[in-house]
Amino acid sequence: MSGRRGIDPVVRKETLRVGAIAYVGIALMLLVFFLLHTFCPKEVWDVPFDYTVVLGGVCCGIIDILNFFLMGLAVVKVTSLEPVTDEEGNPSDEDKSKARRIMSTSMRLRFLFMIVWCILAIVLPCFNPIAGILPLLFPTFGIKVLGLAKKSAD
Amino acid sequence: MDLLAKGIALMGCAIGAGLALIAGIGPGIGEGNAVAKALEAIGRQPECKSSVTSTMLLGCAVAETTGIYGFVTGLLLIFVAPGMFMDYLA
Repeated sequence: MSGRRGIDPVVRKETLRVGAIAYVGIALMLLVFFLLHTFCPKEVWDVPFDYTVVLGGVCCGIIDILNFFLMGLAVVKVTSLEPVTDEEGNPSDEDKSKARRIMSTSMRLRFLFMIVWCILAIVLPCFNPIAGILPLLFPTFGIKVLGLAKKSAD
Repeated sequence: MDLLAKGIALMGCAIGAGLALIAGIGPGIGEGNAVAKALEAIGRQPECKSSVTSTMLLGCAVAETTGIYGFVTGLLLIFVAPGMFMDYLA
């Protein structure tokens, strides 16, 4: 753990990148909502474009960033373990199971957190359910697209 | 008959949602294995720690998607599909 406010620089850098990807995706989603709201006939499909869509997208972006950041903290916690290694440098089984335990606990808590958010997005009238849930998939999509772009550039 | 059809539709939604959430198990196991292997790699080559951490972060984020897909499908089956079925059967 190093860097500003004790956050690992790798986690900070990747979280900023994922946040940027998520908000670019959310901006595109809002654009699609706006276009559908403007040009799609209301009797065919009444697409809303009001504060609920914007609020749902913005809050889901925060959830995306927080989810990735918490995952980053768990990963750094695991990689900061001082492994007890054998002669070949392999960590002991105890360290491996501790690493697995930390990650699965982190994932369980993050999923619980996302379940709570999704239920709130569906139940509360101040959030549009689609705009509140869809951005959960944007970071992964962005990472895959960037990975493919990097691969093709190489 | 109508009640039976509605009951079957709701039961299908509930079973489907339960099955969809099984997808959450896979990423947990996968992430656990990935970090165990990353720990092994860092143990062998401690100087690669930052690059291993960075790669693993992105890998874990991608691995989680499967769980999120299942989870979103489950939520749709719980909150959206029953209403649609009820409208269809009405």
